[in-house]
Amino acid sequence: MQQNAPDIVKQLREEEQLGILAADDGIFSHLSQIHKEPDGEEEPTQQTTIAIPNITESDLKELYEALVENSLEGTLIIDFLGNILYANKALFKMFGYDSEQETLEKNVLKFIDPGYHNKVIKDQLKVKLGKGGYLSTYKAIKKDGSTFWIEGIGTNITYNNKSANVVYLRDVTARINTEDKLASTESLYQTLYETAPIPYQTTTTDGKILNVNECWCKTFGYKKRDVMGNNVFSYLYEEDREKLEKLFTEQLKKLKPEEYYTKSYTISLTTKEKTEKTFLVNNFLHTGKEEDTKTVHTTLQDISDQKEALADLAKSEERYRILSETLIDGVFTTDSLDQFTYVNPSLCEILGEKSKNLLGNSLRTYFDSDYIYELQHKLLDVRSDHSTIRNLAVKLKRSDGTLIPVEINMKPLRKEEKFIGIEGTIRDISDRIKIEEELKKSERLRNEFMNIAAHELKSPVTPIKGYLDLIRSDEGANERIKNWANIALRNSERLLLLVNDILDVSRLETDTMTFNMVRTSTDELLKNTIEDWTPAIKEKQLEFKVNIPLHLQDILADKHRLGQVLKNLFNNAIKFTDEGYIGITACQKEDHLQISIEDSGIGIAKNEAKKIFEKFHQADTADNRQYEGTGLGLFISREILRKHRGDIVVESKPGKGSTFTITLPTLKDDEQIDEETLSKYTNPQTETNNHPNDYLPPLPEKQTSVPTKTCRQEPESKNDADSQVQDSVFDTPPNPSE
Amino acid sequence: MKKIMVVDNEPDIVDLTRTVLELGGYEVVTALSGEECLQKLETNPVDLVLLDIMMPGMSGWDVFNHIKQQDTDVKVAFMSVLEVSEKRKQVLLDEGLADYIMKPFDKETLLTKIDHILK
Repeated sequence: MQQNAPDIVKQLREEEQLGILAADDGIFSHLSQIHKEPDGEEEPTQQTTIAIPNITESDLKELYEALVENSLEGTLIIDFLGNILYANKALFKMFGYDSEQETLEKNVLKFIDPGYHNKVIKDQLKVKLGKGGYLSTYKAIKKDGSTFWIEGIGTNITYNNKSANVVYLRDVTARINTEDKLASTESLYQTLYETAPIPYQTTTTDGKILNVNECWCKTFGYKKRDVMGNNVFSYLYEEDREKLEKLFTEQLKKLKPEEYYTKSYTISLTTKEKTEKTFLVNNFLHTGKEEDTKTVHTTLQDISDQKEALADLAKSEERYRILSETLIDGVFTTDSLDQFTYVNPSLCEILGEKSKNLLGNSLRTYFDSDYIYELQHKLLDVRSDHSTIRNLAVKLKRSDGTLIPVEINMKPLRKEEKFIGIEGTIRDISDRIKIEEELKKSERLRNEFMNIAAHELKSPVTPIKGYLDLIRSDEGANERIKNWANIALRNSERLLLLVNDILDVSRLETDTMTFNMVRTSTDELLKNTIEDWTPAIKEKQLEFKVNIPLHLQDILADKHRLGQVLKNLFNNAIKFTDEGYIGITACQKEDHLQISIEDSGIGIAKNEAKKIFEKFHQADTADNRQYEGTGLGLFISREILRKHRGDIVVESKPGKGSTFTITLPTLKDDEQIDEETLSKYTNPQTETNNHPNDYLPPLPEKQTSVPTKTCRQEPESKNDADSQVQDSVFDTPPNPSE
Repeated sequence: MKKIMVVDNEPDIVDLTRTVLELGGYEVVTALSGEECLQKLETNPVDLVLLDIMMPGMSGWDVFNHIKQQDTDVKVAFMSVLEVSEKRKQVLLDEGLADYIMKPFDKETLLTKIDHILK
């Protein structure tokens, strides 16, 4: 390099020696000072050697060469056409070249991004024209084609009457990037600030306005240029400026050193047009690099509309809350896990638990074990099917362990079709239950009385009937006496029937009549019935029309009781028919059968038809027919049928006749009769129709209920043996002798 | 002639029963209470005791138990307005009761049953 160093370098060195290039570079000034030292004179000469102790001229030359060569700053010398005359190591390394060779005599523009060529040329021109130096930034191109940024300080240099442009270049890519980023951030920030949909204001901690955005101006009705630099409180806080200023300052003071945001708060502000609006305020304190530059950025969200809506909501919530708090019924809500999220005071009372203990507890905790399956099942319905449960009467377990009868209503809470909880009410029905039980009790007492009365009646009836019977069959008595006795006897028998009917009614109403429900062959039942009643029908010279299919499904029935029903119906039919026929038809429907007993008798008037099933209703006939009945037969028949899960209806036309139709559910051929099936029928309770003076001890094994045995004088029916008492439903297998 | 003891606290019923039984050819002694019945039985053995159940003081049941304990052949039958189930009746029969007759009864039925018991 030394040998090939162009003249320019030599010139540089010389000029440096002379101190002409007053670079800030310490070495040169130092050197120029040293240069001055020995003579104490300033004699700028072209060819001056430096009299530095121990450094020769050639040393210096080499030194300078090395300095320039090894300078960290890229040094470039170009002629005014842009050709590179010299480039130091730093320079060509900057551009990614390995040696000077690759750059020499090439045009500098080759290494500059085309977009900056004009700038380069302009700068060069400036220097060429002697108009001074320049400081510019260019985008340059490296050897590998990548671009980077350089900053160059350029100036004129003359040597040997030649002029050239020397440029000191620095890679400023990093700086440019940073500047760019900053600029874009800056611009982004500016944009965001200006275009924000809510009012922004930037003030000092005292409230002096540093900036406001467009929205702020629009909201408050002021122009930016009018407010800049003034105190914000003078514009916004007309009414209660002091208070609001204080609030602002306080909020800022409250901030701990590491905090930036104040708590949001709402305030009412008045705009320029004197409109009052409500805002949600957020303050952000920004501390600059220097401790005392603090600025406050404030956002003001207009929530005037929301405020009204919130106020309405609060009002309605308050109404609801008052309602809920004062309601006598317990009100609750749960989350999706059935845990209480809200309970009103009444519910706390019902469950005997403080609200804080209830909340978070599962509703299921309070289910009594007897009702657990039902309640779980219902809960599941609410959750999965979104069904509403109404008036579910169950017992809940209070915290002290006692049970409380309640009525529950439950409804699912939904959010976008998803189950999120339950809301419901719970009503304490202890009082109601008590009343119901009192009613039941008094009804039982009433029936008890009827029972006792009925039994008591039988005692005097015994001798009445007995002696009349004796009179009637006494050989010594004359016909007239016997006749009277007959009439009296008939009536005593009727009295007996009445007593038994009353007993039946009493048992039916207290659910104490026992039914021995067994699989019964309908075919056989009907066959027997027909046989039994043919004589009586024939006796009255009526036709007996029988229309029964070959086979009917079996039924689950108490034969004795059904017989009682049929007897009642046939008796009535015969009683009220003087001529014509009595008919019996049967037909099988899908799961039940119908048996109709028809007559061509006097019929029943329409308004009476409704009442005939009532207690003590007697047909309103002109003659004495009513005296043959007790008025309870149809009531008892219907009740018995209903206990069989069947029913009876009547169709009648006065003068034409009546048809009574029984319906009964039938059994499938293979259907099993088990406890479960039987439990659907009236459960016989422990017998209460024992006379209070009855000293009969309980049976050795199971407690049986005492069903009825009819004491009726049946028309010498061969069913006498069969019409014996039936066992209780829960006794072991019925007699196979059907 | 077979002898029957009729026990009932109702005199009319006692009279009626006696009339009917005597018509049927039986000899009848009567008692108006369980105590009286047992008392009379000591000196007056019978073939059958017809017992009402519901009596103040000693009930027919008590009398029945009493008689059972005694080592006699005397038969006992209940006569009552109370209905009993077949099962209960059977238990009683198993315990030695001769029959359970319902009140009110008619002459024919009563005599038939008594005849059957004492045949």
